[in-house]
Amino acid sequence: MTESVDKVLIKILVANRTDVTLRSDPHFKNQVIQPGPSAMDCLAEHGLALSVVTIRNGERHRYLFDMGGLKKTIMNNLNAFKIDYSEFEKVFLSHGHYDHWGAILDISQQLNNGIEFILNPEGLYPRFSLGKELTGTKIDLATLDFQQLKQEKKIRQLPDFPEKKFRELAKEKNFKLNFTNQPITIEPGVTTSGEISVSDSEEVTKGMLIRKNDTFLYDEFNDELSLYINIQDKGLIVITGCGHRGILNTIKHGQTLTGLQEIYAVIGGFHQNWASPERIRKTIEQFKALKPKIICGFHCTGFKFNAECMRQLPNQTTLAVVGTTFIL
Amino acid sequence: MSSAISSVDKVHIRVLVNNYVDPTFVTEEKFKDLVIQPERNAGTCVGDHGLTLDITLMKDGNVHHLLFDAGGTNGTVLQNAMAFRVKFETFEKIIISHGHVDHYGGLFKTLEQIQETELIISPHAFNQKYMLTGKLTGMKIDPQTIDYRQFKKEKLIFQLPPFKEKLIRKFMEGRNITLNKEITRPTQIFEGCWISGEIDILKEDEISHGLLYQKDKVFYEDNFRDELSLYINVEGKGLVVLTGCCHCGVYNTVEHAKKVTGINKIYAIIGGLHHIWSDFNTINQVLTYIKSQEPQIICPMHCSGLNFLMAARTQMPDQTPIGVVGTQFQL
Repeated sequence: MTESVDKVLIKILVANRTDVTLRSDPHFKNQVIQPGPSAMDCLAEHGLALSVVTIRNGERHRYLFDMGGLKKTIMNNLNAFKIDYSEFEKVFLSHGHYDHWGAILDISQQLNNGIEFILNPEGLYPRFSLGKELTGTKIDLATLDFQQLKQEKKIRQLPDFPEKKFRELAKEKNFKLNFTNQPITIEPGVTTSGEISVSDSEEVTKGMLIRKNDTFLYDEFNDELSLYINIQDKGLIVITGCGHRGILNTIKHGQTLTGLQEIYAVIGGFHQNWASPERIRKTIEQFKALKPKIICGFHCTGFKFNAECMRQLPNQTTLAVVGTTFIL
Repeated sequence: MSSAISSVDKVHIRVLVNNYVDPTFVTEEKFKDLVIQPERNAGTCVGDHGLTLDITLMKDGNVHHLLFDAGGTNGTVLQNAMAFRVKFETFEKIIISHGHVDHYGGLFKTLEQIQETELIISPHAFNQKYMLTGKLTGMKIDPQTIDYRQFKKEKLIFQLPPFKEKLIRKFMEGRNITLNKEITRPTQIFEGCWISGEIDILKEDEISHGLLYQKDKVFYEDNFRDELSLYINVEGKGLVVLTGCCHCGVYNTVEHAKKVTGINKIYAIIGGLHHIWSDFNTINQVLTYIKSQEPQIICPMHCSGLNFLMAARTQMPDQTPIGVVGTQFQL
């Protein structure tokens, strides 16, 4: 990738933490701005949504990256930040878990007609989460007795993507549904990941299933979609929903895809709550080698990862809350 | 104090409002009997800047149900309470820890659900409160130097929503809800349970900076005469100290607890500890004090700040659980 954008503005619309007292860390020199009392009317939830604005030769584009899980949260927060739904030109859905699209029917009603939705079609399969007692063990999925396990509360079906209703709405609103596993160039310097290659399978989130044609399969997160943006003279920004495919795998995929080695910022969910301390240490070691200027894990990243990352890379790691703005 | 100090057999505390939601955070083995994480049950919960604790005291088969704060700047206590099937009609007392909106923001919606309760609020909570913001966040400044118009223009000051008694009075009409503004002295409200009253200040510099109130058009540094903490003596374990924001400081609040109750054994400190603006030096001093008290649980939430939580987890790994919306303490 040789093209780039001049500037990127990212605002966190939905995340798990809100805090009106959090100060902007002067270390980040006006690149990471905490919202202060402007987030007074905001809510947090277990979900993620980002507004991503790119600026190139004075031209601005605004994209919506995920929508959070509860319609109340994102609608409330968009209102609090005075962002109009009509400003979003495209929507990216990072994967098929409901905490990233839960508000889709309500939000889509408000969005402009004719805009494009980008999603990996594998995100539409029904999804399941195994209980703690089954997460560590390899179970034979061919003989999995779903009803029995459900009764024993050892498996839980996550909310299904409302495909039928959404397709109806998309028809009505003339949305362009771009369901693909291929990377897409959104504009010069901006690309989606397409299916992310796995360099290290240990990194992939464990303990989740999908159902494909009545067969249960371990979820390998083929659907996970990240966004890579090349900023002029700075390097790549990697934006992730949950990073289920592995945050390092996602970064590496971005480097291969774009041919750019310089990682400027990594922003989004890193899904480290279930990772061992050893795994967390390994990931942070790699971050040290990659030398991003900004590391910002939130949503499903978890306290333990953030604490360790902040301890080891204090000058690169920042905390994010609902309303945190990145000016990159 | 007498040797036969009153106590409860057990206390359960559920976090109903907090800044942080995380259903993927699982109960940690080392705390499994004491601090239980909500996991998937918190999937529909929202986080809100604020704090609310649902408290159940148990003694000889008798149960008392209290609400400590009704927080959230957006009043989200009700939505989260639904996820945990909280019964509002059984709250015998509602205690508001101080007059900041993140601790009373959900009060009015809460009162809509209740026919009978006693509301305990310091008279000082109704003062108009302000917060310094921008580059003045958390700073100690001379209140005489505040040029409100100029400060407001430069976004250096934020007027917190006014807490008006008449808004509460509206809910008292036709219901058996009483407003008790008299608890300015330490008071035992149930067997084994005390309200701090005004917290004695032994160390002046422990009081939070950057927060103000205004009376008769004059700004004052807030000295938090409205702050109320809750002290619960668990039989055989010691004192549980619950704080809203602990603006008076951990040392002042805990020493006051010991004086008020006559109990020196600290079992748990749970709540907001307001160290989000503190440097590591201050945080370490506070932690040195906390360690000297040998609590079994220290759970900084809400306004405590990640630096404080990180330092506590490092220095007291087996005593510091993480509190999220829905975390339950069974003490």
